[in-house]
Amino acid sequence: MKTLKNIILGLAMSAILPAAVQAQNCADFLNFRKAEKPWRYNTASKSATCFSGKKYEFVLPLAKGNEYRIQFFASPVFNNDVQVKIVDLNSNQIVIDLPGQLPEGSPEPKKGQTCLQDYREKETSTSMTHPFFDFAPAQPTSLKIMIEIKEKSNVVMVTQGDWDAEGNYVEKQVPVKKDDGSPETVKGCFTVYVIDKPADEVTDFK
Amino acid sequence: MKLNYKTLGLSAMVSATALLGLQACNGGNNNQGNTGNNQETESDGFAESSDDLTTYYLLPSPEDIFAFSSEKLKFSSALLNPTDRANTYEDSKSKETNFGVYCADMAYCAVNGQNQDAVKYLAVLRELSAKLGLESVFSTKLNDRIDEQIQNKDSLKAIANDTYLDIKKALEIQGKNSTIAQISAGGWIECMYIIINSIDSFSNTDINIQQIADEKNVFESLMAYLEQFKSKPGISETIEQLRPLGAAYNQLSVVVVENTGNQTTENGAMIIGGNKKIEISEDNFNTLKKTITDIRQALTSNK
Repeated sequence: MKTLKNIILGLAMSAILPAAVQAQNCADFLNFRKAEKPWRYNTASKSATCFSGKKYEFVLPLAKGNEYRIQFFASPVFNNDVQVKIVDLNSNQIVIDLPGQLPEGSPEPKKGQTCLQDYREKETSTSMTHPFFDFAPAQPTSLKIMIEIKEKSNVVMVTQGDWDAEGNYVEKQVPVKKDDGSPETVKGCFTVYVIDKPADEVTDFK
Repeated sequence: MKLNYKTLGLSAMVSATALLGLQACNGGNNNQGNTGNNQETESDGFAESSDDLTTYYLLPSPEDIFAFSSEKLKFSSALLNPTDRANTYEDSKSKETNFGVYCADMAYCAVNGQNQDAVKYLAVLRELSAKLGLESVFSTKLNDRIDEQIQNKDSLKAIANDTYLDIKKALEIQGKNSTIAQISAGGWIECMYIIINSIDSFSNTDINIQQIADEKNVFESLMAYLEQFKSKPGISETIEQLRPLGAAYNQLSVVVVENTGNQTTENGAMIIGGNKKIEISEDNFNTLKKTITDIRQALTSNK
């Protein structure tokens, strides 16, 4: 029941797209903010205008006694080509260090391998899950969420063929710089979406 | 399976809005790159801290802060900033910081089910918003929503939170992020003032007192956020007004607590926060209380 609902919602999301989009503020992305109980939308959520080739930090204070769920979303223009690192500023430990998606040609990701690319909860799942990361502060802390938006590659791999010495036609992938006016720097939105709830139980530090 | 078409329709609509929000920022040649240090760029209006790094400080709203403590504190209207002071705020700084103060007051009333008071503070915000160029936030639709849902505590909380968010968004679109910083400062101080003055006496086990201590993290983010805009009118004044609170927080001890070694909770949430705990003594509490009260009085009395 829930699976069918998710599929329909997913189709709705992908189908409703105007061809020409008016320029809008990235903050509009948060207009869809909704959290299913017991979760509550956290107003620290942020959707920021970002550029490829740049780095961004989001510093997020977290309170003890709450549990937080963080999800990331990025404009398609970035092709999920980002790296997200999260540092717990109280302990200075890196708690997350993940790419937006797995390299092309990789099998489907598993949970905990990506921060943007959807994965299947189970091999038999028919729907995909968008990555999320749950945190339960044992002590109040701040998370430094470091985002690196990779430079947009101006190179494409092109299949070229040639005859080898033995008369065999061999194809191989060669990098070719695009000369089609593609921009080297692109602009898009990157969203840090935060929801919270009172912690059921946090294994406390004594 | 029975489909809930209303939910589906709403989901489709908000999905479209979300995708518009994503797609609208899509593509286009843009070689702006960085615009140098400490300059606001784009409608996000952030200040870059270095050529290739931009930092955002994500601060809780008043409703977020009160959501944590409200059920444990007794409501007192005496703690609210009187609405008739709104007319005395003439310069930008006092208008902006006290806009934040009144946002906090409205949230405090809303989470405590004080609906009439919440609506009163919404009205003050509406008046002040006109002076800040935020009239669009208080649309007829919002006014109707308030009138319809005035009796419902949960709805009023949602309205209070949505209004705060819409205000932030409108300011971001206008590139007025230093105004957001001022509003955040006023709102946070008012929250702390209300919480700390709701506590009758010191106790080592009072979680509201511990919350005050733990807000040190938020305070540090707030100060860093203000520093980004220190060249903007009124910001350095606010920074100086808040500085004594930094000194008060620095008096709190940070102690190492024993690490049980658990990495996750039973439901899989990652346990973070390290093993350092902020401790607050009765002297610390009294110093914080006096400092916060003095700062709040200076902000709201426009001195």
